[in-house]
Amino acid sequence: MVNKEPDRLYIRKSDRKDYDRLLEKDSPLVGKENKDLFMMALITGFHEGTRIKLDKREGFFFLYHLNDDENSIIKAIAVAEEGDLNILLDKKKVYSIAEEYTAGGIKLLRDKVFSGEYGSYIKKLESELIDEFERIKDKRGVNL
Amino acid sequence: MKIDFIKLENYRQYKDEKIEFPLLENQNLMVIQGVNGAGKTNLLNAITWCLYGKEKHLEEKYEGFPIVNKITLNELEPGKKCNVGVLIQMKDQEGKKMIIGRSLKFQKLKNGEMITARDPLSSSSDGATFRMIQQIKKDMEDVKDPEYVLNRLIPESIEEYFFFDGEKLNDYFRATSGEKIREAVFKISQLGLLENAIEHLENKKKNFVGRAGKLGSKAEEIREALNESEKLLKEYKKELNSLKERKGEAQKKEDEYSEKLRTSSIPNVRELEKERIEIEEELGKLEERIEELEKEKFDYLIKIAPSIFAYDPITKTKEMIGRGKEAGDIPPDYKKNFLEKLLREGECICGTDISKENECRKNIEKLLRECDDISNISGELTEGYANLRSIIDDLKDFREKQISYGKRIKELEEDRKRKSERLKKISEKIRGIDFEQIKRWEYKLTEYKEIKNNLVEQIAERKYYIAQEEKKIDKLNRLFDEELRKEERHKKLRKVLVFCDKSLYALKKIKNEIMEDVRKEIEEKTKSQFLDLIWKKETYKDVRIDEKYHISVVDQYGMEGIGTLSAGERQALALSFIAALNSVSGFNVPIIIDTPLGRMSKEPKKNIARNLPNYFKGKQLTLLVTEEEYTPEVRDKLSKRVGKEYVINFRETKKGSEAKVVAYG
Repeated sequence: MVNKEPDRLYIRKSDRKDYDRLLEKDSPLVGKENKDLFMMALITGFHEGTRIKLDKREGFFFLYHLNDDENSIIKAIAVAEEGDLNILLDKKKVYSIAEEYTAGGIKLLRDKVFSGEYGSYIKKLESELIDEFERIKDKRGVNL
Repeated sequence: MKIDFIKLENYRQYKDEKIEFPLLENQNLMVIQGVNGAGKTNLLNAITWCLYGKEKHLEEKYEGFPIVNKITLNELEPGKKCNVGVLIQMKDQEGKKMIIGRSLKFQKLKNGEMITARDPLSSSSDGATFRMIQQIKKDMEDVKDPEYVLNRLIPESIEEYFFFDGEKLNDYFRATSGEKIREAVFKISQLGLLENAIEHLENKKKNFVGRAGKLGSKAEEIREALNESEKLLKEYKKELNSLKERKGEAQKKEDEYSEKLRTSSIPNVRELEKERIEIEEELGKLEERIEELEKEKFDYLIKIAPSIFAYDPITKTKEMIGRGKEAGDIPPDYKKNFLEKLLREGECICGTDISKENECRKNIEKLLRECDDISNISGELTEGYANLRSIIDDLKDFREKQISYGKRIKELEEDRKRKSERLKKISEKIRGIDFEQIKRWEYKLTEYKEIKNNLVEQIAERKYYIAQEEKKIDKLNRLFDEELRKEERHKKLRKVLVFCDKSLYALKKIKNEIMEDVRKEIEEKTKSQFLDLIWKKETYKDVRIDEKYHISVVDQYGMEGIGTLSAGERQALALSFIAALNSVSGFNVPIIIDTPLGRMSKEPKKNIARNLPNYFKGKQLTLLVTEEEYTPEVRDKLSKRVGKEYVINFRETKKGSEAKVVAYG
């Protein structure tokens, strides 16, 4: 049986202040939307392999805010995690995996963003992306 | 409101003058022509001195000299006193008079020195007497609080939009002018009233909190913290206003010295200053472009990051779906829930009855056993497969795009560096010119630039503190509210505070909405007047004032074209903007423009002259012009609207200078 998609995505209640901090004026992520922060925290948590169960949770944004690419990435992470396409039948599980990685990534993201002077996160992110991209290219060949 | 006449007594080069203004509705334009230095600008100064006690357009050569006429001063016997006065008689729409006068007495000492003889009843710092008399029915009566009444009629804070120097209008389009324009719009929309209401309500709210009586220990703690934060916020805001004011003054001074260099008698200096103005404008745009590009690059990195960091799961999932496709499972021959539906309803799509046990039903049941749950989401998988493929495709040019952003930013940064170095060279070159006055102007210009830049940094700092403190207050208010909720006896206070918060929210919203409406109206009016005024009609299509109050002009190709405007076109744009500000302001104040056509060549001059009175429709308009501006063609274009036309006759004697305003021709 396919269960229904949740209408919204959740974060840990105790993490709210970290998200608020990331949207403050001195943050490079100021002006970004909640779903952007969620995606950034998600991939940080996933990349570091940190997954935390949500105890007390609160709604963060509605699912319809995600575009097709973002939705596909969330589903791909769930499939890879479970090693089975059948996980896609359990929508609640798919999104709760994403929420747990996000909970695991938000503190790391906050530390990365604010650990250096203003502007250093952007450089750090750029260089991490280049390294990761080169690693993929080495693994998969020039045409990915 | 129109000026009926102005009387000047011993005011600078005007010994004893009365200038009558035109009052007719269709001929309310007045022209006063005079050579440079004859005293045109001092007529503006006489008006602002009379109204506000300040000579707001004073040229450097007059700075430090007393305002008393030099001839009077020299002829005065020691021990005697003389009076300096400016009197303006105005008439409102119903023809009722209002007289505003300011006078200051001077006494000549035996040693020839001049001192101010203060009016003992004067409240102004220089000891001048200020009076305002208005007509009530048929009688003339003293206005009890003249400064207050005058400020409601012609507020000092916005006088520069009624009495201004046409040559300085160009400053509106400097790269740094967004803030200046925002302030102009703010002032002219009279939003100060709403600001006052907001401040009043905030104070009231504070009083309610303060008078709340004994609270629980936690609420008490929060109340104290709130008080402290509000006090701090008030201080920061006060400091911010003072810094902004100082920045405005430094900018004004910077503009003044730049103007002196730009119009100096040495051609090389003029050229260098023009080049500097252009480079500074370009630098402003460059900064914006670099900022935009950096933001664009960061947005791209944020967008692409999930695809790169989740590359392994993306490819793994894509491969898994791909295998299903290859095996023919995706898309499946039948969806599981489709077969279940047929069995539930007991009828096949071909119409065969399968409600009872029969061969057809058995076949369908067999198919159902072979079918996986995943067949139900085959559409989603096919779509997902396409999405994942497109994500991987988009990754292919990641490095190319990332390098290209870096390259473009670097190029712009290098251009910025070159331009900054050129600015340094220009400054050095001007300082190297063997002319004391030029050197002094350049030093002054640099000094004011530094002061301004320093103030910009301080303003940014204060803005940050204010934002932090506001956030803190917001949080404390929420906590305070939570504490009040806990006790029934604070129910009434809570209600009052909630009402205050809702009212404050509404007031702030109204303020922002009005500001936005006014901005749009000014944008619309500036556009229609500018496009009406320019002579190459097909060249420009649009004028925009964006949310940051930067003015831009869009050319026929949709490109930003403010940099391509000629001096005349810039003047036309500035006049359109000022006229738009005037028209939305709601103030019925006469307009006086010094040197309105100064920078223009022949054709534009004629065109603006023809349209200028239409801009300020219904308003009494006075133009202070030079002979070069008031050419026979211009005069011809304006003739139908001119109600009074004067020339300033200026003579320099050994005792001093004197200007006489006489009828033209």
